[in-house]
Amino acid sequence: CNPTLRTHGYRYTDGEVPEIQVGEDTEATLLATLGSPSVRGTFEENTWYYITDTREYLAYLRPNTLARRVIAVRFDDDGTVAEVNEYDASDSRQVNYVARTTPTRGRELTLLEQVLGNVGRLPTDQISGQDNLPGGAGGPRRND
Amino acid sequence: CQGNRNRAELAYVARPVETLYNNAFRELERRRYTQAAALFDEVERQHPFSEWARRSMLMAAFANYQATRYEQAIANAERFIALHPGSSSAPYAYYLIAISHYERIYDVGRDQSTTQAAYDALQQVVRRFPDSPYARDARLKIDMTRDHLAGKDMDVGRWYLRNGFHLAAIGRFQNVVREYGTTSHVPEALHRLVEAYVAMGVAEEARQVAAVLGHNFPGSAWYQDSYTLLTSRGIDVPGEGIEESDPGLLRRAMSRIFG
Amino acid sequence: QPAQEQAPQLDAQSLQEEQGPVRVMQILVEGNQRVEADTILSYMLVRPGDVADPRLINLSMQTLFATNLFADVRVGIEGSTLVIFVRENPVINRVVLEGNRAINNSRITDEIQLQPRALFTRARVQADVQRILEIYRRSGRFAVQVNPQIVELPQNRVDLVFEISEGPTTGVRRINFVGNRAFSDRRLRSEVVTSEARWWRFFSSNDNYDPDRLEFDREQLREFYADRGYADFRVSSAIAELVPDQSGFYITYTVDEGQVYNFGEITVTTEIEDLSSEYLEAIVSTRPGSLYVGSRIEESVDTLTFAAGAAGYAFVDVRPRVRTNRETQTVDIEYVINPAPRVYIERIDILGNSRTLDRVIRRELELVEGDAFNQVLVNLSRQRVRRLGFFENVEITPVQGSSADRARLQVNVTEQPTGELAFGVGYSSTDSFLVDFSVSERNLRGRGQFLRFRVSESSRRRQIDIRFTEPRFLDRNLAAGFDLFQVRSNFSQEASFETESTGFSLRTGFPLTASVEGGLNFTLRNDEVRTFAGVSSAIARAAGSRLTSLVGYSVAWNRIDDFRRPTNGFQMSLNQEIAGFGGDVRYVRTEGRGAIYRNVFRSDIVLSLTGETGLILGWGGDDVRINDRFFKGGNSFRGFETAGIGPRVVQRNTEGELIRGDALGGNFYAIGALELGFPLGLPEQYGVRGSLFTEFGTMGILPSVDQIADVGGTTSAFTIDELAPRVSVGVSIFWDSPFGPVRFDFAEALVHQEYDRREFFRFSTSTGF
Repeated sequence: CNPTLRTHGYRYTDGEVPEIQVGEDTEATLLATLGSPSVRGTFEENTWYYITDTREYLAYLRPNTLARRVIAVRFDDDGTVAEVNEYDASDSRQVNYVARTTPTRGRELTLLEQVLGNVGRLPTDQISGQDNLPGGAGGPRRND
Repeated sequence: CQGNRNRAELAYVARPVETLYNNAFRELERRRYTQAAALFDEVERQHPFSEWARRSMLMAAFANYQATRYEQAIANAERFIALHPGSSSAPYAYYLIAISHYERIYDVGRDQSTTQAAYDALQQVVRRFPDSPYARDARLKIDMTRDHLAGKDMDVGRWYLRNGFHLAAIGRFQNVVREYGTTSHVPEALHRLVEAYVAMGVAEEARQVAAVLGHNFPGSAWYQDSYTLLTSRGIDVPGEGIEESDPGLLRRAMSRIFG
Repeated sequence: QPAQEQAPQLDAQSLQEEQGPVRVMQILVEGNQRVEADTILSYMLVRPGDVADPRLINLSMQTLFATNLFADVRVGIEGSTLVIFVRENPVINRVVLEGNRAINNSRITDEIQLQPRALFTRARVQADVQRILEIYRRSGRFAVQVNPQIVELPQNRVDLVFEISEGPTTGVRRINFVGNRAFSDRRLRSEVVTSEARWWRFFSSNDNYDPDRLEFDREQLREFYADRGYADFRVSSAIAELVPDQSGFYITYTVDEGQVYNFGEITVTTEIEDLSSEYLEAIVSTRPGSLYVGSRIEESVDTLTFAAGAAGYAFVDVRPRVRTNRETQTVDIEYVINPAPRVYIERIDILGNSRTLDRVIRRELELVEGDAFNQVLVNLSRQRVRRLGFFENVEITPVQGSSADRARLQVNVTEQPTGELAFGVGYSSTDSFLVDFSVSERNLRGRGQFLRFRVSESSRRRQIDIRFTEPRFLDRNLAAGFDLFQVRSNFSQEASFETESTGFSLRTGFPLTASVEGGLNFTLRNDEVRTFAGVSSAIARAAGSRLTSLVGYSVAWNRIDDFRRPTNGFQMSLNQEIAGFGGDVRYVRTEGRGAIYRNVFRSDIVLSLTGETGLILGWGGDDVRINDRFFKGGNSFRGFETAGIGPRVVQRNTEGELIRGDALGGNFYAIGALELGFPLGLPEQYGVRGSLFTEFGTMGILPSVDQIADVGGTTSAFTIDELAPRVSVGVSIFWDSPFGPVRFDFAEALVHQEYDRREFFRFSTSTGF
């Protein structure tokens, strides 16, 4: 049985990676050759990441990553390339993601509700704490 | 079967406006909101030009809101605003529209267009009537809708992360940090970014994000998770020392989050 | 009268010459009853103290008029005060519909804009008249007239009355085709959606005349012909003539079939140097010389896009240039592959899912945020989300992203109810009455899970089961689920025993390749067998209750073209169960089935060869009991009663003939069937098909412990077990009646054993609603 391959993220034209010259290339030249980065540094705007991920989808197995290429380009303040780092699949590490999540409001549909097909709504008292009358105490009566 | 006929469909009986209005009002008091809404509509229909018509339009909106018939409540209130934009209870009408949308927010796993509608309507209330009593509650609810929208990005981001789509996950968590910097999800978003970058082996970015998380939310459990994750992967966690090695990083980060 | 009235124009010049520039000190409003003066003033661009500039006044009059609140707006200047006369549009008190019988009030009032308390304008009334006409046209009534009446009421209020005269229903009496040589009228009629009105077709509304459906039908015809080599087929005209007495329509399609074409020269041209044309030309499904098939061109565009992507060119745009040349009757296609702009998807938003969870949809998408934009993958994603069956409509539209090379995908779904309440009644000559009731939900809690509770009861069998399936277990392409069941079967007539099995099973199903599906299951059940007094020892041995715990796997290879009515392709499946992981019963049961379908002579005649075989072996010293053995005959072997063939308890009577006793079932069976299905020449709409068939096969092998030797004489019963061949031949008639599928089988057992139970006629029907 033949797996299907799918490439996610940044796509290089015809496969080879153009050489990035430290000190010579600038943000402008990279934009021209490679185009804009997949993602920028969260707090370091002048770090660009080109992330490509080739994955194999086979029947019921969890899709596994065959190849990955991450090119991290750091520019110094005047926009020329200061440092280029490359990471590939071998750098990836096993991470068991924390199960806890930050709570959000909103109620799951109760089973009965779902089967009967009507959609429950978000009770405001659960959120704003005041009684359910809009505008807290008093309604239109108050200001007429 | 088409469901029971709407009992509130009243026979067309012309009655003096005061009695009509008072009947409607009594229904409202007795919390029979659907009947109240129908009676208030009747007032407006039979005496469209009376002072009572103007008030019952709004009362009908409120009754529909209480009866969780949000579309009708919004329609009534919008018609009131179109006809009486200058009236003293216009702020209340805008507010009623906003909280009607607010009530229809689904949980983060589902469509968020009602959340967006609520957010826009609440913004209107705050922008048009900044010092009205409704603005205070509207501001409170705005924070909750933003928190809810951030929750949506987190929900999708976590799904991408769990399924190994690191780039997609990073995009979503960065969006939370940039667009919803003041919501309750920022600490988790930062930790998830650390997880994603560690999973890809990009230690440098993971360290930087962990540093910002530690600096801004030192006590949070999320920083604890990041700390254990980094140290267990042999990546040294920048303690206070980060400021010397890269002055201004924290300042830039802070401005980015709370800018 | 123009639909949109013109706003009254203040003629600027007259104002100017008369008094020259006038400074307005005060603005008055007159004629307003409902709308407050300050509301009107808020729209005025001229404030007290300004110069009365006619342009501004004109503009404010237009804005006032656009609010639809006023029937007329006029402005005059008296001295230094600007006076605005308004005549408000009346308010609608009631909207009354008269004369509408076919369509009830609520359906019309939902559609029209004018409601009680709304403002009355002539433009809106005209618009609503059109809406009412449209509603009637959609339900097939074209001879309807609507004229609105106004009833003046005090306080500038009006009652609006729509007088509707519906006229007769305009169904489609006949559809005929002109100019079609290659395919018969009847064949073409089955291709178009619009159907001729027939008395038994009360459920469908497809027999009403509807112009947009006519357009859709033209496209259906074009696709039908294009897939059969008619490259320049054209529907030159599609006319619907109203019958003189307005009782219905005749629809005539004039078609110009043109010639049959083959694919001529197929070339792939691209500027991208190292995409080799030869390789690409080889993988395209439009093969030179083969019959022209329109849908293959679209297929080839997809294949080429994928190939370019795989070769590292994610951003390509493939355009087929089609050139038909009449002389050589060939169609040349040149696929031009151009580089497309490099656009990435920055965000995928899913909208409209008020019940289904975001991830249930997102996991079906072929694209992920950050990926290169690829229209083929977008189409594929749309198909996969539609295949979930939870949505009426699915649209994926790309939207401009935050920068030039970024796009956002909006996945818009409209939910549809996925809960079903099904109730079926059936009758068959063997099972007599069959009642089937089930409640199911295909999108449980918006998680895409399936839950069904079902009860089915007939004279010989009662089954109660609950089934749950999670289609994407652990977010993988792996379906998993469980069943709780209780099955009570009554074989008293055939083999004088009854069984009641109660238990549960856990199962998983997963695709191995595109057409091969695997499955694993574990079942734990308690079988209780009750036999009647005085029954032969072969059956009595099975009495009592036992726990069966078994593990099974299945593999199915599926290459047929249409699941409901296969015309080409083949299907093979194998499944095996090993009982004995705990429990009291130990056996290995293996069953295999294969089927090949071929079109012969014409596209609606199908020859099928099916074969199935099964073997069950006890192990660990355990002999297979009767309730686990195979029973063949009836539906599984036409020409014989249920459990009509195979080992049996018999007794010799005085003349030496064998008297049939109870069936004992067998450990092995092999049955084949050769069947030729064909339409019975009746018009397609009756939905009647027939088939000639022959079935051949055998069943046998009784465990030795259940065999009773023939000691001769007429007193003692004994068991007979020969793997003798049986052959039957017969005719079946299938009718898709409006009440449900009905089936008649007439079969004659040519080769059989003396002790087999034969059956000539079998009838069954079932209705679901």
